[in-house]
Amino acid sequence: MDLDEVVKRTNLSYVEGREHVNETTSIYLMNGQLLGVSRESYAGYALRGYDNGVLYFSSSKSLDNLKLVKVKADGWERLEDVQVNPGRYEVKQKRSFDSMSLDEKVKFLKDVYLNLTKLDVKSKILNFNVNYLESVEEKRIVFHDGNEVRGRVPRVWIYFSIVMKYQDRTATVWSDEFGASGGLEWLDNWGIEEKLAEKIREVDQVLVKGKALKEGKYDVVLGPMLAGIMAHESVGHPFEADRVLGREAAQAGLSYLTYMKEKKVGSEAVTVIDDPTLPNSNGFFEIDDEGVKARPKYLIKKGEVNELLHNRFSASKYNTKSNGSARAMSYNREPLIRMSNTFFQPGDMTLEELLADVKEGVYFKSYMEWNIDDLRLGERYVGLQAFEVRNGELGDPVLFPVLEGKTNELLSKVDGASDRLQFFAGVCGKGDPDQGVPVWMGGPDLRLRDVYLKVI
Amino acid sequence: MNEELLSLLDSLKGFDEKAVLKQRVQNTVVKVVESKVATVQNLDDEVYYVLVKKGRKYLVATLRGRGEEVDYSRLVDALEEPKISPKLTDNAKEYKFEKVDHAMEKVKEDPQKVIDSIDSKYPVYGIVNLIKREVSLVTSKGFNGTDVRSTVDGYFRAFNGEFSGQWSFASTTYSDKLVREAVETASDFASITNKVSVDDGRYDVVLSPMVMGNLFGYLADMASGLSIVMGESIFYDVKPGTKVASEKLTLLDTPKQDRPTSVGFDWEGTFTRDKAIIEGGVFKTPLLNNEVAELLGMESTGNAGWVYPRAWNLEVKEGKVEMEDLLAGNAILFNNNWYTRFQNYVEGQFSTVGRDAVVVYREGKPVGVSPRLRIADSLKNLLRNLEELSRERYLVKWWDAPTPTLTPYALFKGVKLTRA
Repeated sequence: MDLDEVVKRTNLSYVEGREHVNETTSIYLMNGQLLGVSRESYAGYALRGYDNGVLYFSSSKSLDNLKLVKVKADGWERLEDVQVNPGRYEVKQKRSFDSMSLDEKVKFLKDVYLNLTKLDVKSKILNFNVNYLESVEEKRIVFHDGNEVRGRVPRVWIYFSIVMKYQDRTATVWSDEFGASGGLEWLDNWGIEEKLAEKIREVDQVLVKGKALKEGKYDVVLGPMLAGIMAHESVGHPFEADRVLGREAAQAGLSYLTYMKEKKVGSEAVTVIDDPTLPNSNGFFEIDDEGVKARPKYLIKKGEVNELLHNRFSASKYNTKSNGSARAMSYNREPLIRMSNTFFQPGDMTLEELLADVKEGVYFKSYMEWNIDDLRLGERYVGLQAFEVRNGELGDPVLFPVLEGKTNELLSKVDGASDRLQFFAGVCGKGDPDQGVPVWMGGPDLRLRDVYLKVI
Repeated sequence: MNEELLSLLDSLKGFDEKAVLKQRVQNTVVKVVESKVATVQNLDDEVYYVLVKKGRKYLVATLRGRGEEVDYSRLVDALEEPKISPKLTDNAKEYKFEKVDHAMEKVKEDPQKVIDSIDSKYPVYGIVNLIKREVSLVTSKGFNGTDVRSTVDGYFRAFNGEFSGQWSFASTTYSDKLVREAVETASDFASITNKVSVDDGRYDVVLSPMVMGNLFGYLADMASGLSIVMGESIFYDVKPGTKVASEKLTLLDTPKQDRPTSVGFDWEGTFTRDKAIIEGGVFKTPLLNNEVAELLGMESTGNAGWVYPRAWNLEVKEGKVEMEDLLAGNAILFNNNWYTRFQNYVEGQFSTVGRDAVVVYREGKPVGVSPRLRIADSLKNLLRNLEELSRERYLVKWWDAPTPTLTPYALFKGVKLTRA
């Protein structure tokens, strides 16, 4: 029996059968020495069907073991629209993974380490850990009506974690810039050494010369890395309709939109978009795992709530159509509402123009610790590469400033965005059993007026 | 025993050392939203991992996927000598352990019993996992072992308007009582109303077993020998025998107890054993496999993971007082937390966000709950400032505390709290 037959025999109004393969090669290096290599392949089948408010799901490596275990219940889910948009999508590689051998890849990563440890900095590099991953995700999804969706996305990601120490100050520098879909052409384009060198030099300055600021109100400029995490955590997650409705309440929590009825959540300068169709992005797909065509979603438009991220089931509860946001990490996970590439829309000012109008403030270029409450309202970011802004000019490093505030208050204080747009790679976690899916998060520089900053 | 694995092991030619490990996890999941069933899932995961070595060069891979056609020998040849190389244990013994809860197997076939046990005055949200886990290992050193166990775990969150409470459980045997009591305790926490504002500052704080499970899970990760070597640990420059915590703290890794995720052998074929990570406030040992132990000049503690050693499950020793005694003065009780993030692993500086009932006690009486409070302190401070633990303990595991942990409530003095 093949997957098509299994789907056909599952006599429910909506059924998906998915064949899903994730293949990953990982290389780990510590202080320039190889730590290990792994080749992992996870391939199997999933079957999901809807009946009387319950989503039944089964997964296995073997089609024979797929079994929907039914219960007597008037379930929580709802489903109206079952129309499927068939098709296929694929991300092409300009340089295939095979164009470099394993030992050439190891050498490439070692060279990055060797060159960066020659930098003239005062801090000691205690540890320099590198994790390189290349992966291919392939899926074929068959639906109750015989329609089919196929997708193939290769991805490459290099993650760095560097522990630096100067006297009694230590900091962990990590890098999320280097992740995308495509092939090894990214190794040529990322400029890894230059970007990491800048990061190490600036963190060294913070450790050697950084002074704690005085708690109080400042104008703040958040760099694209901060804008990215804010777009993801403070806007993307709370705009997942299943979260607003409570499906994730016991796990990652609810959303401020569960309780907040007003449309206005930020200033006119705030527009946040989730767009899975960005070419070569980390969160790329063209048709979601429920057979709905993907498109850019304007979550916040000029400060107002515009639309949520939906799958078929949340859309039915809102009497609307799904906007194609359902994704599953692997064969053994149900599709959930997920972000793809979430970002603040850039403005029309340069960074220099944004800074020019700041008399006394702080520029947060990167962060160390961050978290947010389970309504996605109260958030905290601790700056790593952070600098004083005095009379429009970047000044001395600031030691670990703390930005803590409420989402709607912070978004209301944004009065300008720069014209550059940068993305950062991440793995977004959600659901139980948990799922991590690749995403981009990004934005321009954002200027916020009159924000209260704390110290550690 | 393990004929299929032995045949796979035999098919891997040209290596000095090799091992095949099979993990099969059959999980029946019931997810509840607003006291209604949202999804029932039947997950059957089976993975075959292989370790192959030539000299110190090695590769870890999965079998039975598309990787089967990969030429492992060529890949290993192409590698340079690694800094750390997994080392299989000279253990040629056979090991078999099987303890399956047959009552749980019946519930897995028909999870209606779970659904019928959920009864609450408030809307509840949560999940129950009913798991049969099988781990089998064969090595070229002659080890041949199988370990099969049942596990049930779950958690429920009850909402009383904008007030909420959560509780969780874990066990090796299923009982409706586990579900009923978790729902009840979550509802009790949710019934505490009245918002109280708490300013930034230092407070005496009581952490519930779920918060303990979350924070001590991170601490156990930091106790992994590899985390220490990689500089991702507060134990980075701490020698065993050093005092790191209040003498009231004893933290154990307990794979020999009848608890979820216990197992009789590790991935290198070393028999597991219970051990103190911290005993009476003193750091006793990192968690080690053979290769990291060698690097640190120590012996394996039976916690492999190839390359990465880790805890199997955790136990915090009980104290001598009732939970109410911990709250007798002015204190803030954290029912639950999530989103723990470290600024810096060496210093252990972190913050974590309180959720559900963060209850403010004045003179032993609850006066209300405080939203958006964070613990923003260092793990080192927290360990030093542990004042007392409750006599009663709870075995918990939930989404943000994934390592099963048997732990009491605990009172910590002078913990820094901030509010967004």
